[in-house]
Amino acid sequence: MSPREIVVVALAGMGTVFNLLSVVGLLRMPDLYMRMQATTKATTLGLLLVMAALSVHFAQPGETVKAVLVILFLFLTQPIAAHMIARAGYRTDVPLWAGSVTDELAAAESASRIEDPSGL
Amino acid sequence: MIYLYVILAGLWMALNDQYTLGGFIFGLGLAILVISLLRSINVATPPLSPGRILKGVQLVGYFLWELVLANIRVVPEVFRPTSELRPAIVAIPLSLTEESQIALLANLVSLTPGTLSLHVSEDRSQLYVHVLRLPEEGPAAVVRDIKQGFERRIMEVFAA
Repeated sequence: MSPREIVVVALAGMGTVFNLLSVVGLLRMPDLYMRMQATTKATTLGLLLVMAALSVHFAQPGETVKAVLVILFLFLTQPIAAHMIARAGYRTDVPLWAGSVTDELAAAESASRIEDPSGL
Repeated sequence: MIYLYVILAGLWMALNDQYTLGGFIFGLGLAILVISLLRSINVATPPLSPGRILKGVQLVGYFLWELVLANIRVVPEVFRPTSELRPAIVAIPLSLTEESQIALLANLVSLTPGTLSLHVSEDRSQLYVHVLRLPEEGPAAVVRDIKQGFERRIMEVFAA
């Protein structure tokens, strides 16, 4: 293998491992919020590494620009999607896993409900 | 403002591998359309200065470094017995006041593994973050990490 092929295999391999780990997390985590953490996070670094492997493999400016754009678009949209899904879950009372240590949002919300009897 | 149109037209050419005059003009047309659609969204952008660009590059570098570190830190969580997990929702008191800066902080927190932005209080004073593993020292450690990491660096970028 040429040095470039070794770099490509290493980057793509690491990227695939991080994506695989996020699937294991998706299957193992006990509640919505933790599953969101597992699926949306490891995949950002996973995709970044796979895209890096692609741009090293093709080694052309056009392909590298495209790979950077794919990463950029993912980094712009992924956190918003994760935030909205988790927030929608919380808003519709999807329960936290019973083993969760603290919920400071629930504490704040119940405090504001006491101050504001309208419940808004 | 002109450079934004040129950047978008350039992106269009890069995506299509068409570095021609026709491609540039079409990209420019799309840029004018997209920007006119988004004009109503007002984002406060301070003028660019060398110091601010340097701080911006530092923020991006810090974020990429944190992204790698946090990914490695989260790996054991995936294989830990369920009974040893310590998830929690933590309130982070915000020092940032500008909405676009709070949005940037929330997104960076969400992108970093182990933390997920859940909610911003109505008065924009608190960011509620779901953490996959609450440190032994408790919520204060999470607050300290985010405030001294991402929030301080965002402030430096936008500081006058």
